[in-house]
Amino acid sequence: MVKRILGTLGTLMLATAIGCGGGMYEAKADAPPPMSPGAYASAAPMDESTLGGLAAGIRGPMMDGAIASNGPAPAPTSTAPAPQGSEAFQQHGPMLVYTATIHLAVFQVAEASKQVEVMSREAGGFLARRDDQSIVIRVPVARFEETMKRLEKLGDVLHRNVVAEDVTEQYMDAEVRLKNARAVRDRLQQLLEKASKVEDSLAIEKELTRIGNDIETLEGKLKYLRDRAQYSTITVNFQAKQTDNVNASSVRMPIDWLNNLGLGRLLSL
Amino acid sequence: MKKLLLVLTSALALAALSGCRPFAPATPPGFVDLSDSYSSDEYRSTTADGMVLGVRAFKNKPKGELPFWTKVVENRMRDTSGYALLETKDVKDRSGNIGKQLRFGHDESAVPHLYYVTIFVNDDHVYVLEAGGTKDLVTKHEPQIAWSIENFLQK
Repeated sequence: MVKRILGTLGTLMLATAIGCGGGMYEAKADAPPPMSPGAYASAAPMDESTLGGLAAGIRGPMMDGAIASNGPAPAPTSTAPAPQGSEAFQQHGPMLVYTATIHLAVFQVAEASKQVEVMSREAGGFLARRDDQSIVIRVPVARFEETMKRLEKLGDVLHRNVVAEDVTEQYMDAEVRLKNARAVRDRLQQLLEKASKVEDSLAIEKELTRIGNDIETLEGKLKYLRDRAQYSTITVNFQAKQTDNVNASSVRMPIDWLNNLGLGRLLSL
Repeated sequence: MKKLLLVLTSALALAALSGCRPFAPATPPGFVDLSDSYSSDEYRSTTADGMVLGVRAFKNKPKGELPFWTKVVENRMRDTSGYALLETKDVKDRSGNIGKQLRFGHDESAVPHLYYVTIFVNDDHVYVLEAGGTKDLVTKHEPQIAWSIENFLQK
């Protein structure tokens, strides 16, 4: 009996391992479409604009300097049923994570930083991090292009970098593995119900625990990838515009020996 | 005859040396005078463990009074060099001239240091007496620092 159960487990594990490859994707035609807006909506609460942004975010590549022409488009208005399986990718294109960095020369850094934060909120995003010289915001992917254009008006753009990372394969792989892991879990649960010996039950429960951990890890990875695809990350680095070096609080006296005061000189014997 | 010549030469050398310096420093017990290694208008002495005293004289040009030079040094150390002014004290030298001592604190490589700058001013010179080292050392040598100031002589 134990041998039979272990043999079945082995077969299931093998199926899970094979499932890691893209080849298994076609076999799960009854699975929810991984890239359809509905799939994201069920996994994480979001409003319509966010859903639209996501749909836009998986449309196509956007490279540096091509934001205006190839940036994320508005949400699709079609109510047609979502395509199944790999058709979703064929129709929508890759799942992209947008990350941008802008170096801006501005007159008043603090004021500009506040404006960036306001822009992120107006775009439905949020502040991720801020210090004296930089700010990191996250905005729905549908508002990425618009936010970039608004940011560029805050000052002189010294440098801009936009990266579109294609995480489609990672996402698909994790999703297929998750589906297979769930199937293994279900099968193990069925076996557990039928197990008549204590040692069989223990062996199956041990395997159930392991597969449960795998499922949690894969769910976390999918959530993380969805979050990255839904919200673009924009880092704005500020540089104060060059002005005359006026410091009203300290007058520089034209007396040379004042420059030679301090512990550094005194203790250099 | 040779002895007399040696004594005369030594006396002349000493006179020449002290004559160049517009001040006469006072080296406290436990400190060694390092003046030989410095120019004639600068004095340095140190203990074996690294507590250092220094005296320098500068021409009082542009001509200013004690409050002016005190404020200039204070601003310089606080605004530009990042030292914290801990205390200001009135001091006197051996002739009874009044000076001002500024006591600064400063962290060097996360180690607290103290730096005392004492200023005396006359028509011709601004005298800057410095004392510095780690906080422990300076605190330990407070009496010697005070003694070196009380026995300092302007020329």
